[in-house]
Amino acid sequence: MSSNAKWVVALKAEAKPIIKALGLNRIDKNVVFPVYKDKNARNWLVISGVGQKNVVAAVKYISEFSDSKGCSVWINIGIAGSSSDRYGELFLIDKITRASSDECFYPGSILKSNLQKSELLTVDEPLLDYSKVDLVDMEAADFVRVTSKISGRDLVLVMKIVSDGPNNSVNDLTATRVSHLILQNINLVIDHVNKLISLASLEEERFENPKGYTAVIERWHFTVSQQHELKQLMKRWVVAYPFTNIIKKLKIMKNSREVLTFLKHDLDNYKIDWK
Amino acid sequence: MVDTIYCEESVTDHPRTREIFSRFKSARKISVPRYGAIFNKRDQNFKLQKRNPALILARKYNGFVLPVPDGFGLSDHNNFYFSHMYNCIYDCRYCFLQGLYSSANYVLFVNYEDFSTQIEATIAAHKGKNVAFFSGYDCDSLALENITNFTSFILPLFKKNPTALLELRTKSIQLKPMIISDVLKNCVIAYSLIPDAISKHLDIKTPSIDRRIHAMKKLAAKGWKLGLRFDPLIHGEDWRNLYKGLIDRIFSEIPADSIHSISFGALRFPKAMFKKIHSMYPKELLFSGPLLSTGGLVSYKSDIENEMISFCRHVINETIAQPIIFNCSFDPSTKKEIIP
Ligand code: SF4
Repeated sequence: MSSNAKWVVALKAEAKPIIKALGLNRIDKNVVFPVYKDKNARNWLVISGVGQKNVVAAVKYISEFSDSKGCSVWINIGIAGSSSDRYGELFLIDKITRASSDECFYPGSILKSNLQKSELLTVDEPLLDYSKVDLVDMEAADFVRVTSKISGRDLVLVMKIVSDGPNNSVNDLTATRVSHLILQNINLVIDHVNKLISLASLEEERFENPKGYTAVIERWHFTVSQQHELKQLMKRWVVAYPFTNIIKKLKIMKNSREVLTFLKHDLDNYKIDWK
Repeated sequence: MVDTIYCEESVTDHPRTREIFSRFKSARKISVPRYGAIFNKRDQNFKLQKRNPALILARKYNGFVLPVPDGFGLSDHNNFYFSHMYNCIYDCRYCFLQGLYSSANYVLFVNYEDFSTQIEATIAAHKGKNVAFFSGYDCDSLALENITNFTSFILPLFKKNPTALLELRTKSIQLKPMIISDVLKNCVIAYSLIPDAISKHLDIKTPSIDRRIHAMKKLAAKGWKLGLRFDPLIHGEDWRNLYKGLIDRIFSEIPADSIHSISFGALRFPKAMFKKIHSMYPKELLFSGPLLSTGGLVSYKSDIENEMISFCRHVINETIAQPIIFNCSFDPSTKKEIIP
């Protein structure tokens, strides 16, 4: 299983430039949460609609739809209001406060980056006066809460682009302007996401079955607990004997118990050559 | 080096926080209510965080001085430890911290004065008895000294209390606190050592064995007492020659009279911790060694442990003339001495 990115965006206008840049295609007919992906299934995108409830449902939907495993990078990107005059600027969010509960969420900071960083306030209703907050949106808090449970907070990204502020009224926002704001920053965004996908790939080995495992459980009958023990022993065994064909070694074994005993015995007598 | 600093609201204005902030001007500073909000969360990835750990500045409220766990300490002392920091800049593959914590970020407790108050209270409470304090249980004692200055802070307390022993456990070659301080006879700089060939595989990001021996030599020349900690003992092909080579190398450089004590530590993990660490590094050769899971612990078979300890003791006794204090090494599960 290889690492991938799951993009969750609230608006179609936000999604459009990402879909184009990544060459994504619509893959289902779900009218509530349209899902897109590229041909290698490296990038997936779901349009969630506005608000935290929608984002939670969309994450759940794409998670099941795409069979998410632990090495997915989750990205919530979109526009945000700002009290400062930073129209069009991209921010990587490292602290999110949910306005309704004051609860805070911290996406990971494992990637060194020159992107500007900021805190964000997630509100339930559109905020009319946000003169006292750095950035404000309506999705990020719950997005981080639910995706952290799937991939861990280190593989969760929230990126916001300032769309309205003291000199840019929210009333002037059109779908075209929103798409344009995303498009202006798309290279920076994709570059950052790709770096995190590379890091996430370090986790792939955690989920891999040891070489030969499937063949072994198909050949002999193992109970569920024996399968677990077998996997742990084989993980160690294939590291100790990387050039030995395990199936050839095991072929004279009569049953699962003999297989397990053989592996244990081999490991018990294994002396690591440290030189 | 550190590009993100999380800071507990309660220590934002602490002078040490300000000092650290001024040293990392370009680091992103993020305030957190309590360090646990960022450090203790389970939904994080130790292995990935290790690539770029953040620093968390916090206040400790209790548990400044704690009795050592079984299997740690000097047998004729009342043994305590303190941890001004959690986590380490090094990345040893056998380190139990990677199984203990869900985060690899460094936590630094900046209220050092509360540590010294509690250490002094513990010394006072054990008047007339041998008392020893260990630093370096939850971190390396010296590795981040250039940022924390904790050792420089704590040494004067032990100068004032010469009956209390301090052990600084380390792999670091950061010697500044000991170079600028007077030598304290009641302070032991204890170096963790494994044979060079094994260290190259497992002691990731640490100073090499050569550089550690060089640092020990400098400390010995100044008069500091050293501890040799063969901890953990690592088994493998030709282990006798590897350990003999290490012991010979040490004693060819370090005068035996500068050695305070020698101890051996077994490679041991609670079962759940082993599972966590092995799942992080399934391709690590160390975990394919002859490890047994018994009584909730994963370790080498006791005959391997005993043979390794006996062999190393024997080589040391053959190598140097004067008697050396060997610290006991206990099996935490049975509380019995491992040394045969
Ligand atoms: S030096 Fe010690 S604390 Fe640091 S990583 Fe190595 S074993 Fe762990």
